[in-house]
Amino acid sequence: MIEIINLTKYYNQNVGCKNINFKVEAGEKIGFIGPNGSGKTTLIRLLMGLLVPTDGTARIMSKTISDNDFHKIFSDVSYLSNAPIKMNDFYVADVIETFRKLKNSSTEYVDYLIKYFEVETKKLMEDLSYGNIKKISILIALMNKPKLLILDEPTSGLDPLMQNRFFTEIKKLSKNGMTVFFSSHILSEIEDFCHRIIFIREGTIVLDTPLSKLKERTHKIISIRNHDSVIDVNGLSLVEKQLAKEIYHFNGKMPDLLETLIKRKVKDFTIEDASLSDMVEMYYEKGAS
Amino acid sequence: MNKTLFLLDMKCLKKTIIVGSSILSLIIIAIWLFVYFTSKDVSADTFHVDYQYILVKVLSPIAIFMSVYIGRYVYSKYHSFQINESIYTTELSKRVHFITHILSAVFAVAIVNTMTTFTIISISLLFNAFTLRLLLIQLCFLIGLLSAVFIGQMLIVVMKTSGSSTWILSIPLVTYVYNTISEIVKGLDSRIIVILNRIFKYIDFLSFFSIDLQATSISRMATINFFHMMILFVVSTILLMSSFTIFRRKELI
Repeated sequence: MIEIINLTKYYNQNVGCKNINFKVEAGEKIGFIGPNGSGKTTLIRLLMGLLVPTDGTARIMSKTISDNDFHKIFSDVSYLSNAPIKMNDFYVADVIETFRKLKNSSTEYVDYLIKYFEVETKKLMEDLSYGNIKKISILIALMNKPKLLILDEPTSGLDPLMQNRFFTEIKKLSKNGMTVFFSSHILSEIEDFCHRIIFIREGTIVLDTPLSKLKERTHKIISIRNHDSVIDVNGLSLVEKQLAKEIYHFNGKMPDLLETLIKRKVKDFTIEDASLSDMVEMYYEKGAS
Repeated sequence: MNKTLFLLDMKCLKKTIIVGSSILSLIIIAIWLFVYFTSKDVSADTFHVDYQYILVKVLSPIAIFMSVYIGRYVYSKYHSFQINESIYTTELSKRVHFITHILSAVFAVAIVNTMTTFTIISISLLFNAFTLRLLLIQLCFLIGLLSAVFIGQMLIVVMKTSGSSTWILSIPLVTYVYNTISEIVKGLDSRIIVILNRIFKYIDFLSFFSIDLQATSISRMATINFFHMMILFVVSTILLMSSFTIFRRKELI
């Protein structure tokens, strides 16, 4: 579906992204994460042919930007930009209808999306809030039921109800085999939706792994309540001590830990996976190791 | 050409077309109302000379400014709409985008020209002064305006969309200012003035119309240099078409 080989983009002397390599197979759901200015949007724009790479190749559905028929991919590819549409003088209905025609989308599905996202079609675009404009952008991105959906910060500005509806709809579409490439700062939604995570930092990919493997590789969070004695197990480190609760990060062998907890007669404890947010923090701050 | 994109362009241009054609037509009407109420003679023999004089001295700065604006508008408009990313990620090829925007601009200028043609012909009929020469002037006027549109469009195409493109509008303004002061420096035989005159002759998209009210015969008072006009039109068309090679490889945001 997507193949990126040594993709590099410079803005004069500044690096947009450098030597990026990865592949995305059909049906995958990729979470694309990185701090501000790390090169996420640059990479997406290179993929969409909106920017020209300094070096390397970005191939989508076996076509590259230099191919004469590159535009044909957009019958099966949709892109949601992070920039809200500002067609202030236009009515919402006109904007939707223009894009419906440009994307050859079915009227039935567009009407369904209008009702589903509660879009007010009779208003002028300039009278809409940021969140409502975002709903129109989402509607435009989804209207052609793409095989590949590329999302750049899709839920920013949406209220929780609409976020929920958005995820319900893309989950429904992805059940039919839609591939999703999802750039976001909201890690909980990536954790819920994506199977694979790609971290980008300072224009280079620092991690590309299935979410399940990432969880295996990173620490567990152990919370122990109402216990006084010090617990000493290889791989266990105390990170926070509260009045009746101690929080540890554990990176060792689980049977050893459980044996020690039983020996010490610890009765009230929980073991959790580190959240994606913890993992990201680790990669943002320390880099890949 | 894509019909939907063309209609979107026309919606964007609607205000400019209405304002542009209204201003030009109202100026024409106002001038002849003034002529009528001040009881000046309106002669069928010199009607086209009067119109060409008004066209060169009054209408041309506005019309050229409007044409360059129309030529420039679409790419910068889509950028300010923040729909570049959405509109260039549809199934339309860059060739379709390019051709559609050219046709939109041509159509817009043609509407403005048709409105002024309608106005001047109506007035000429009122004064019993209609001649086919008026239609010829209007046709040449349209070709001049199209040259301005093409140059405006070519310049915005070769520039980066996100960059400022307002300076393009300075071309008709500089031309207008030079035309104004050229009368003053006409007598000076300086080499620089001669070179400047030649340069501006080709930047001013209506410089093929010339007026000499001191000419000995009416036919020499208002002349049209068709060769100059065709060079302007052909060169601007070639420049615009050549800019497609840049547009194909251009970063669109």
